[in-house]
Amino acid sequence: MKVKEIMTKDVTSIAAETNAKEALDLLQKREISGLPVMDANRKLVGMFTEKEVLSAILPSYIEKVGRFVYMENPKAVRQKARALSTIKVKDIMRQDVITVDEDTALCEVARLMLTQKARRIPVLNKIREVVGIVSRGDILRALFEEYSSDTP
Amino acid sequence: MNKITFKFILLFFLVFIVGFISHKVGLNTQQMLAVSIFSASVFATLLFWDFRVAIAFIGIALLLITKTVDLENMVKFASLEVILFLVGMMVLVGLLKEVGFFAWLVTLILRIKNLTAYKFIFVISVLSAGFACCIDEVTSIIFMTAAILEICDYFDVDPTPYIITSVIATNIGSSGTVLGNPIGILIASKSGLTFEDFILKAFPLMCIALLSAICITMFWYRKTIKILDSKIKQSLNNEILIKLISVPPEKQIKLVLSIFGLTLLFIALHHRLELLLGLEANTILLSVPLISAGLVMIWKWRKAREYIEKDVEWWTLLFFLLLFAKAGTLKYTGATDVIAQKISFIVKGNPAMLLSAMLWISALGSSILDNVVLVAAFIPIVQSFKDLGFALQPLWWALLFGGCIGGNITLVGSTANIVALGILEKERNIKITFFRWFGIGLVTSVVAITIVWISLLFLPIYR
Amino acid sequence: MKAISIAIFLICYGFISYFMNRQKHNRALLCLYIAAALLLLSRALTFSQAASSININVLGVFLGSMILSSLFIYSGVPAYLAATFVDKSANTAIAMLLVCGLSGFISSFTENVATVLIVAPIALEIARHIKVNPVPLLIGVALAANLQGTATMIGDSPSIILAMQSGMNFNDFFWMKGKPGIFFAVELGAIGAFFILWLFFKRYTQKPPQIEIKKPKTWVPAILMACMVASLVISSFIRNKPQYSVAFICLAWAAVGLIWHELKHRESISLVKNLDWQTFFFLIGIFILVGSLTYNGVVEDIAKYISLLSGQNAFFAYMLIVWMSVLLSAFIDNIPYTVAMIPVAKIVALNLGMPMYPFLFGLLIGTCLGGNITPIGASCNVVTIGILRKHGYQVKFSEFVKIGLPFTLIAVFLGSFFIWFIWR
Repeated sequence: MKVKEIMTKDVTSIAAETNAKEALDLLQKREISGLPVMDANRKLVGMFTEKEVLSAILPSYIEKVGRFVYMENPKAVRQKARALSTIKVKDIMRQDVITVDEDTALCEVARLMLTQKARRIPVLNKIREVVGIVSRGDILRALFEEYSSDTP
Repeated sequence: MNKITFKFILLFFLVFIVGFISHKVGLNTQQMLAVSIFSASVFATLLFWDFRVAIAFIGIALLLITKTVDLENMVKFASLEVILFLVGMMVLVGLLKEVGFFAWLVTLILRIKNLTAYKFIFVISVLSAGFACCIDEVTSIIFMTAAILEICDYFDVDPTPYIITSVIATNIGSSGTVLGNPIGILIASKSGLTFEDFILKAFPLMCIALLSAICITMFWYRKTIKILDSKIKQSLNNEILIKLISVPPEKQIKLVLSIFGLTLLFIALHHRLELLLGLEANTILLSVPLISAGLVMIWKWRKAREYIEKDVEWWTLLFFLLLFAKAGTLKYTGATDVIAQKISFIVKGNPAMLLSAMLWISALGSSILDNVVLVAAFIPIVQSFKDLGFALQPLWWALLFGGCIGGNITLVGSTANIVALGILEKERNIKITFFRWFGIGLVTSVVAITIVWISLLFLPIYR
Repeated sequence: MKAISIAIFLICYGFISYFMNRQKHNRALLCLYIAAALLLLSRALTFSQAASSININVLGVFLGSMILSSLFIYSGVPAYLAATFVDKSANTAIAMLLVCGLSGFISSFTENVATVLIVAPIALEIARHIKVNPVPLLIGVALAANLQGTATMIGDSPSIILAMQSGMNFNDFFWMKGKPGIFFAVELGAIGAFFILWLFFKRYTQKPPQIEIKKPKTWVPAILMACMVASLVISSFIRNKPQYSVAFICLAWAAVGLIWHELKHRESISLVKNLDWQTFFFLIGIFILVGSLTYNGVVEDIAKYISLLSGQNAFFAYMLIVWMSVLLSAFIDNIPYTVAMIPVAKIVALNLGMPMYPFLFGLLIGTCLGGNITPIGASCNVVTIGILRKHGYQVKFSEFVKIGLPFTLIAVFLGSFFIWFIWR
């Protein structure tokens, strides 16, 4: 089975120039954790996810100083969260995005999701336009449906 | 003409000038090549910082292909023992990080009785210098910068003065012992000076220099310190318990700190132990971290791989490895002998003048180049002075202090500066201009170096 | 050593030509400097040899005239002149010829590429107004610029290089040792060449369009430029002047211009940033590269080969140099070719026991005019094609050659014969 059969075709996307806070509100309204960022020609320019927002508001050094536990919310984090409405999606988004072709096999998508730690992968057509998006849940569902339909 | 092309052409001409001068000074072909390729690597790290490892790789290959150095010597000069020392220490630091040392540090500062702003700045200076004495400057500055940012955030003050102070203290502190910065261990392994020598001769001087720097920064930043002072009094008056970060399990920390302390102890006693066991100089010095790290990796065997892969700064270590090899080639080809001769001629064979020259030139050089790069470059030159009949010990101290303190003069003088300011910019969007730094950097450095200068010249302990 | 320098030179040259044809100048520069670094590393060239290969005079004149011509363009004088000419001409064909003539005039003291950049907008305006294909006109502009750039010492880089490497000064291009110089040879060729242009343009008989005549912002740069030319003329009468005096004159007037510009408009820094540093550093790199050939005796070998081919027949040697240059410069950039061939021409002359001047002039005529045959033969041709492409006109190789070839052949014939008969 190819990924184009299970992908979500009606892809909500955001423009790179969108306000980051509005983009975050969109994520929360739709109850999804990430959206692709596209330009006017439906070409992929980045990925905007909850993870990227967290990365943006927390200090960058937390990964380098080892283990510690916050007991309070530092003012700096609060300020950065407030400042989210002054920056654009393009300042936060991840530009290095894994994508797949419409005709990619399901297992290959699964492999990518595991090795590249991606929860959702945009699907592109031959001219590199975004035509769909597939999530971890979609892949799992499809794989298990396929396997359960095999006669033992 | 785009930026990259311009930088490349600039690099070409800088190296060309060096090569040309070395020809005029009378170096032969091999020596000129060694000097040119070495300076190409050094300038390249200035102009193309992100590509420094790549350039180091190519540089060393060029030296081999042009027959400037042979394989066996290249490996010898690369000073694997120093690198392994650093690897061992980095593993220990990884362990410290994992048991929550950072948190312990922050809470330690906040739990000081009757905290005032002056105590705060004193404490962070001493801690920064202390860390720089024990672990590598990048890790220690990240710790201190993060701690300062969290604390200043809590009190809602501008962290800049405290970070600058911390960086200054770090650079000064890295001259105090054999550990810490690669500089100490590098000089120790090449000069034969022991940990005891450092403790007796370098450490006290470092403390005095540090004290002078603390006084200057306290005066320089007195206005902002007053602001912090009032804020601290406010929160103490409201009896808000300072609980920014939770205190990690003390038992584990105490255990790890004692392991670390024991390691330091054995390193301190390395000379005595080597004499006792009849071992080659510096054997124990370099073995102790390896033993410690090995034991730690057995204890935490599940995390051992992670320590090695994540906490050991391979990128930086590789760069150092190749840098040392290239510096060694300078000595091997005799280029540094020629340079040493010329310098000796200029100072008319006067040891006092030579000492002063070494101190100030290495300080100057270190203000532009990274500390380690400068020291690696000058070590062969100092070694060459031996054949000219100069007493080497004072020269080593001059190089040590000049190289470390000189890193305080400009923004780019040391990796610690660059890392700290990078974090500051990223987290608080504060950009320090060259001249803002240069002001306090120059004053503290000049005072500190002058103190060192007078001590080295006149105190008999340094003869 | 010889093999290494030839190998590095040829490979580097190949890459440079490839990149420059695709307008990827930065990569060409990088290749050049990597090649230079390799030469130094392999000891095919020593540092002092490399240092002495760099001709400071050329660089000084280049930098100085580049600054002044930047100011000249800024002042709006060329645009004013062009618009005035067009306004005063009877029909379009004459206007077109005048524009080419203006291009030639400006090119005689401004670097060719800059000339094209000044005159092209006006030419495009004219073509747009009378609704004709701008391609022939712009090609004419480029050809004229190339042609006249050869006529004076400061007109184009190869001329500067030739003058500095052979001890000629500004006046020598006009009148040297009692005989008419390159200038007249070029003008003779120009007469023939402009005739060819007229053949292409004569069908445009309408009245020329009304072009807005913008008054120039200031006449100061034009005056400064005139002063520089005047000082060059005067200095050529002074014997035993210091070695770098020509460079000094150009740089001095340029400095005056920069100071004036800074005081009046505070824009000197951006002007300096926008100078053609690519060509500047390119020149330095080429000097080093060709220097390695010279110091390793490769140049001598080539010269010996030419002498061998032509025996004692000086005329044959002369023609060989001229037409070889025409052919090669149609595909290779003029500057490196000139730098490489000047020593060859000198040695050939030496071997034949003749003065070097006819051979050098022949080299210059062949190289610069030869660059007019193809769109890639000279940088200003490449720039012109680029300008046309930006406005939506794709120029075919054959289209350019159709005009360029007859233009060049006549110019070279007339010019080279003139030189030979006056100078042999």
